[in-house]
Amino acid sequence: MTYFFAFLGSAAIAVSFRMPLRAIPAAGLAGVLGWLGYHGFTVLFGASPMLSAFVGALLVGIAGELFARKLREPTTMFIVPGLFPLVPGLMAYSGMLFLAREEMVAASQMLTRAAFYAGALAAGLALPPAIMRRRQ
Amino acid sequence: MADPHEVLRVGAAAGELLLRCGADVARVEDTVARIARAYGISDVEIYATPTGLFISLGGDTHVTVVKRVARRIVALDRVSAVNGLSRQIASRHLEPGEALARIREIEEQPGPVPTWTEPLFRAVSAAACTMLVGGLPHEFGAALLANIVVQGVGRLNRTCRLPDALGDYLAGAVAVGCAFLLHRWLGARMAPVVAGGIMVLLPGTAFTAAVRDAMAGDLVSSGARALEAAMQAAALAGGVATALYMAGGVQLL
Repeated sequence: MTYFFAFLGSAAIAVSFRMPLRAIPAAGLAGVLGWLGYHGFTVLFGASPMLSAFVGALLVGIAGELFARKLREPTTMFIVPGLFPLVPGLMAYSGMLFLAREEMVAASQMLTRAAFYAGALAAGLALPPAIMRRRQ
Repeated sequence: MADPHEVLRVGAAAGELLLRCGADVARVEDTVARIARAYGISDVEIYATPTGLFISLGGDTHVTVVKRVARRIVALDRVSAVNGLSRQIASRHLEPGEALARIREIEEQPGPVPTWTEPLFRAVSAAACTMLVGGLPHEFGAALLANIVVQGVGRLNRTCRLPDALGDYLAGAVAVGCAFLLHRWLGARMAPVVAGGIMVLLPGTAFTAAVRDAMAGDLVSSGARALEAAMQAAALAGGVATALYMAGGVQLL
């Protein structure tokens, strides 16, 4: 069921970014793949959120490169919406909440975690273009 | 070989439009270079950053143009259209005047969906993100409602020409405020509703572009984008924290 919402989330944000309609399903699919990487690794292998985020972003990046070639569109068009389901919104919110309650230890722990999570996303995103672009 | 001045005009218009619509820097440089080469100018230097670009075409005399880009939106249909146009110029040799007219057309073209529905799609996306972080069905509706209000505030901020940072701050605060009210009325839990809303507001586009620019070696652009993302995130976080602080004392998680 969450996969449906991953698709919906990515596809809807893609529409609001004025993406051409023929590329919308691919954007949704990129979101599903990212969620598959994240959710799959967390649930099946019990991996940490960081590793799962890395795998999810990696899949989004690979999907972006492939869709970009297939549809002859810029890669960004698939990566930006595809990444949306992986954004660490809950972590960021909890961090803010701890901050507002002046629970500083818990807040810094949560916010540091969110920052590293974002770093894992960045690392996952950075790899596919670096490797797959060499052939051009 | 076409008149360098004409080619420069086409290249600058294409590059400026791409930057304004949120294309990454590598794409802008690539597209402008492709256009220049298609018109037989091989000696071409382009330096693009998120806030402006320089194009210099060689030949008998050098011609250079500087374009400043103040405001950026995300309009992927335009990026896609300019991308297609640059391919056409390369393969079918459009006249520069014609190419320029096509770029103006792209600038004016209506989006793939009516403009007024765009906030709705964004709200749907926020609601879907709420479900991804463990929301319940009635929280889907709550997130949808909250996000529409948040976007209304964002639009108000833009109409009043206030700085974007203030808009992000207000958006964060209003997101929490709406979630708090919905928590009282509908019993929706705040965490999933706010988290979903935040996922759409967080600077995903700037962040993604920063990573991609860094990998492409565009360090200035990457730094600028990272700063943009950090500013947005900080403003948003400030808004959320302020609102939570004011709502304090309630069991919010």
